[in-house]
Amino acid sequence: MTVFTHDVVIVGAGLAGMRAAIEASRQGADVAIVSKLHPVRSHSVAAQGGINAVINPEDTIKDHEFDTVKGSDYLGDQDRIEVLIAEAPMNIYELEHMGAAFSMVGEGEALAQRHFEGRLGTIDQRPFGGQNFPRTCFIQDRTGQALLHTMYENLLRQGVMVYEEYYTTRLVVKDGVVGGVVALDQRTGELHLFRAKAVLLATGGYGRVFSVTSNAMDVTGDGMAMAFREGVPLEDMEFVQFHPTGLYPTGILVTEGARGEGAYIVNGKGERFMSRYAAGKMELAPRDVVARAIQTEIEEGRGVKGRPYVDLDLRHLGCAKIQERLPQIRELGINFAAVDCLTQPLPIRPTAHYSMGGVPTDVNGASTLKGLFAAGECSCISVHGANRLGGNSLLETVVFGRRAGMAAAAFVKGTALPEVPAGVLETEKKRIGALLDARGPESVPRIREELQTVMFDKVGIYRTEGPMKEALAKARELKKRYKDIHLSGGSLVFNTELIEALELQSLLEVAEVIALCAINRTESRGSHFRRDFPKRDDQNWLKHTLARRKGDDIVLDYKPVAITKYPPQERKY
Amino acid sequence: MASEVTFRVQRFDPKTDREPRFKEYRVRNEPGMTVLDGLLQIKAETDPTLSFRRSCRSGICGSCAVRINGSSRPCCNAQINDNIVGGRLLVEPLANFDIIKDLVVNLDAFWGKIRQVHPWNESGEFRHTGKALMEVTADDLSEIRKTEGCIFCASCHSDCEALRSNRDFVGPAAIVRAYRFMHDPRDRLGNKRLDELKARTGIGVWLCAICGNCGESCPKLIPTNECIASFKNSWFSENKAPDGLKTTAENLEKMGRVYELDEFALRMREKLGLPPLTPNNAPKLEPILKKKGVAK
Amino acid sequence: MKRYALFTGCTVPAQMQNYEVSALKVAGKLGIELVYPEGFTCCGFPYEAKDTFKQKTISIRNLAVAEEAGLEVVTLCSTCGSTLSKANHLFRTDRKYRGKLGDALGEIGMEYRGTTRIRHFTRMLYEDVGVERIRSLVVRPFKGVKLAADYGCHYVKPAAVFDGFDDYRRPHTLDDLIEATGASSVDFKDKMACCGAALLAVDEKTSVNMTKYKLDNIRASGAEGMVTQCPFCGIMYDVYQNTIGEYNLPVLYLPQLLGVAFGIDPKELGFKINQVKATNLLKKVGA
Ligand SMILES: Cc1cc2nc3c(=O)[nH]c(=O)nc-3n(C[C@H](O)[C@H](O)[C@H](O)COP(=O)(O)OP(=O)(O)OC[C@H]3O[C@@H](n4cnc5c(N)ncnc54)[C@H](O)[C@@H]3O)c2cc1C
Ligand code: SF4
Ligand code: SF4
Ligand code: FES
Repeated sequence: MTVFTHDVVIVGAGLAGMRAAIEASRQGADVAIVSKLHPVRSHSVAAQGGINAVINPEDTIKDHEFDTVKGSDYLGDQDRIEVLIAEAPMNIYELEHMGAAFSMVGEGEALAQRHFEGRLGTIDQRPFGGQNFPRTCFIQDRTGQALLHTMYENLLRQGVMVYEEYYTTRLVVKDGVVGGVVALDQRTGELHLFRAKAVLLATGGYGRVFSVTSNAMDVTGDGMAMAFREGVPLEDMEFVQFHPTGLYPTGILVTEGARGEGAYIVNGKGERFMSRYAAGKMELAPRDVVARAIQTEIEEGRGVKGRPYVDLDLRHLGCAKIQERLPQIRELGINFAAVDCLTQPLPIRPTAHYSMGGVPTDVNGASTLKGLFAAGECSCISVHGANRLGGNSLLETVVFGRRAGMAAAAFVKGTALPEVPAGVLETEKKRIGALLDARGPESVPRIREELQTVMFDKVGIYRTEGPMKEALAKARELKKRYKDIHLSGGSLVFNTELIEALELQSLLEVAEVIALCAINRTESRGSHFRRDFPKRDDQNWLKHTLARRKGDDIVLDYKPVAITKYPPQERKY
Repeated sequence: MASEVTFRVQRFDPKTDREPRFKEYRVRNEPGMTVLDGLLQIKAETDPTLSFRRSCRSGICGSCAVRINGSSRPCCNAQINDNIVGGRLLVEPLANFDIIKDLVVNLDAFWGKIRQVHPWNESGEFRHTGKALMEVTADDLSEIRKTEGCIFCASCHSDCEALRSNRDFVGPAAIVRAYRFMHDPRDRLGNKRLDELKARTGIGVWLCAICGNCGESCPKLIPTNECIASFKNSWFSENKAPDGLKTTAENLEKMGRVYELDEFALRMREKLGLPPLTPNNAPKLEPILKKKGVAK
Repeated sequence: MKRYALFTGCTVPAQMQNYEVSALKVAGKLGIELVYPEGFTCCGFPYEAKDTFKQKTISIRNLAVAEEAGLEVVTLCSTCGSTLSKANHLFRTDRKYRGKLGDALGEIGMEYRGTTRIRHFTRMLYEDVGVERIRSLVVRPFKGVKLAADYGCHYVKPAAVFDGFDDYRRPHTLDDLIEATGASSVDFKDKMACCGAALLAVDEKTSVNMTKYKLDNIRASGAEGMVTQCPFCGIMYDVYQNTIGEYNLPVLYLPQLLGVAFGIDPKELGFKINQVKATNLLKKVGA
């Protein structure tokens, strides 16, 4: 048990956490990152499509703003969206200066035609769902990986201290001021106290609340749960984006590229059923429309072979086209599902993809708790409102990561190191110790699976009051059952059973909030689709949900949406 | 369609074990299941104490590399059915690293080596305005693309023959990273990065035994050996190669052969009735070798 | 009678004539003619460290010589085989390289169209002669003799240039040929470990450690001899063996083993050159 002291402690080393750390360190603060994964393993690595910015003279800031506002189904705070969009171009250039090698206009052609010498001067941009201009910058089909690596390398260059594979178990708060975190060094199993003048959460989303998700296994909403337990509110947690094409059964992502190239989606009866949902655009309709269509087919028994999936059929594109244009998708099918899309359709179903909700912050990442900042997917600024635009979340991590880092560094100047509650480390040690000694009849994997299943089935793509209430009751029951779990004990060295048990606490916490917020919002907006309230209701619901823990209860509160330039209209594509 | 398969998994708990041991598990195997799925099933249903790293399950985060039947690779994109040997599947932690627990190894040395090559754009500044700095040619980009896909899975280090006998060797992954920045026209560190690599790692890239394993293990098909050779080329051109290799190259220039067909060899050949050979092949190669400069 | 261009490389004719002579004898027995075209040089391998492009040019030049002679190439050295195959693969698949290499060859008045086929001697035996035919010719079976197969790295790697031949992680072709003589090919730990020869001129300690690692594993397997097919492996395991430890492990080149099994007099197979004497092993089969 050691006590480490830094000016700023950043929890999480994804794009948001590292960008914040670099900035805070550049501003002269003594910064450390505490992350349960090595930085390059963070889930930002999985982003494929790209990152949005207005850098083409023919594009306009206004268009990007409007696309974002409209995408958010008017729930995004427009003053913040303005910041996001205005700062986007400079952040792209900054990434480029840091070392990211964006795909360039003419790169593909030059290579195909074997012209190697000419200089390429312009960053390429591709069209992405829900936008009227091709403004998504990308690095081949692995934008997140390339950016995360660039960020990590700049973190090394900046010399920021990283405590990697340290699992943060709690925030340390005294008298309404955050004074650090407690973290478990997974390698030794020891608990340490990190004291800091500012704590910045960058722990990512909560996709793992659902049984089918494109998110990594570590995306468990830890940061949100941690803050929530300390009385910090969570905003708009009912909004979860589902991607239409997750590979069955695991849910890992099949990119939109497949549909873009003309793949068909076919149900168990061999019908291209999109004709019944979006006859005009067919498979190319917006994500949420396609996701709901697929889900309907599955729920109404028209899945393939009676199973919960439909077919993504590429065969008519021909071997040559698939091999040339979609080699990664073919590889994905072969490696992850043993299906070769040249000869067989890929089994797909909608998958939980992005968490719009999170810790509410201002435009500089400051939360409502003194000394606590948040950035990235775990925060809710809110720029995504009820539905995130593809390519805007990577953007969010760098724009607001930078801002939060800067603000945290400014905050710690002249701030004294806050006090921490006496014996906090011992208390936490006891709590973890008790968990390790738990020998009840319940199993962590089973509770987790029951939770994920009920959340996906009942608080997923389609929502109705009755089933959601069942889900909420179930989540609460599971929380009780969690008290009787069984762990094997044994050594604390890289005890992933213990880590999974801790993560399950976060999932249970977050799931309850999601279900409650979703039940209360009696309208449909963006990703939140109520069968019993299928219309958007601006009269009553043009407002953000705030959930807060009060003892054993959760209380809900609402706050208005900031509207500057774009009054709500119907969202039609 | 479901069948069963045996996973033979190496276990090690530093608190209780002196030596790694093996444990066998029965795994329900359905078509399409990956080796990671198998491990997850074991952890959820049979033995929660089994530790391994995993995160993305989609072959991009680099966490989950292990040795499957002796060869290293991320296990989340390895199909069980492609990896059954003799009715079972052997899973061991990466080699050439110390084990922390079970399949989890200590990668500090790996990261340390990556850090040694200054894996960043040295001249990069934080500039928020202006335009793209990058004035690259398609050729530059193709070199970057060749190598930037590395996911730091460390499979190459695990399978590296030279590392097994000498852990100081800088190893293929750091060399690949150095290559990526060497070919970035924005970067100005250039040869200094090479010198660093040399200064801090003894004879660095020269320690590669050219076994070819790294190129085969790499899940991202990075031409590791090409990168290694390219560094050797640069150093050779600066006359910084180990003496032994200089001699070999000189032999080739002098005789068109690496080993001289000396009296003894010629006599031996005659005695064994082997056909005569031209002792000096240099004239045949001279027009190729005399050309100035290192071509790309 | 089948004819192949024998690419001897540098090491075999200068130091490992036992490999060369036994290959010629075995080929003769199988009705195969190995010809020595004038014009072959070193495969270029040692130049890879100095100038990769020139190395490739040297390789391609050799392939052009064979193309001109209209012969398929067979190599004794695995490294020659892999080096030539790599250059060939690059020439065939990379348009950029093809152009540059073609130009370089043109400057010395030669031309290559990319048609030459290169295989290792063992692979040729396996594919063109076949295990069955070899088994049928055995008159001195190595029954009950345990042998360790040493493939050498470059026999199968890089896999991409060997168009699907054998499995580079768990190859079997050499084992099959060894077992065709009646011997049993034993399994041992890290069977595909590298001999370390490439490091001999760089860092002898590491190099020898690598050799030792494999020798130790083979000793632990109880093998009575080792069968190799690469002269660099031969240098390490045979020539260096005594300086590393007392293993008394005879190292035979595959054609030496086959030659004995076919009833050829060991004297004709160059056993004199083998450093670790195979006398006891040969006695066992009555040779
Ligand atoms: C498959 C996929 C594709 C995507 N594609 C795109 C795209 O094309 N464009 C786009 O804009 N967005 C995309 N997104 C979304 C985007 O990638 C994420 O929103 C973004 O990367 C989140 O970054 P982050 O830094 O907030 O969190 P993450 O990258 O998830 O990082 C979270 C960090 O927190 C740490 N952490 C978590 N809990 C703890 C704890 N208890 N203790 C210590 N550390 C902890 C983790 O170790 C990790 O370092 C995609 C998402 C997915 C799933
Ligand atoms: S080729 Fe060199 S770097 Fe690659 S695995 Fe072999 S010895 Fe290691
Ligand atoms: S070079 Fe390939 S094998 Fe090595 S760490 Fe990178 S991705 Fe893994
Ligand atoms: S879990 Fe990420 S690469 Fe396998």
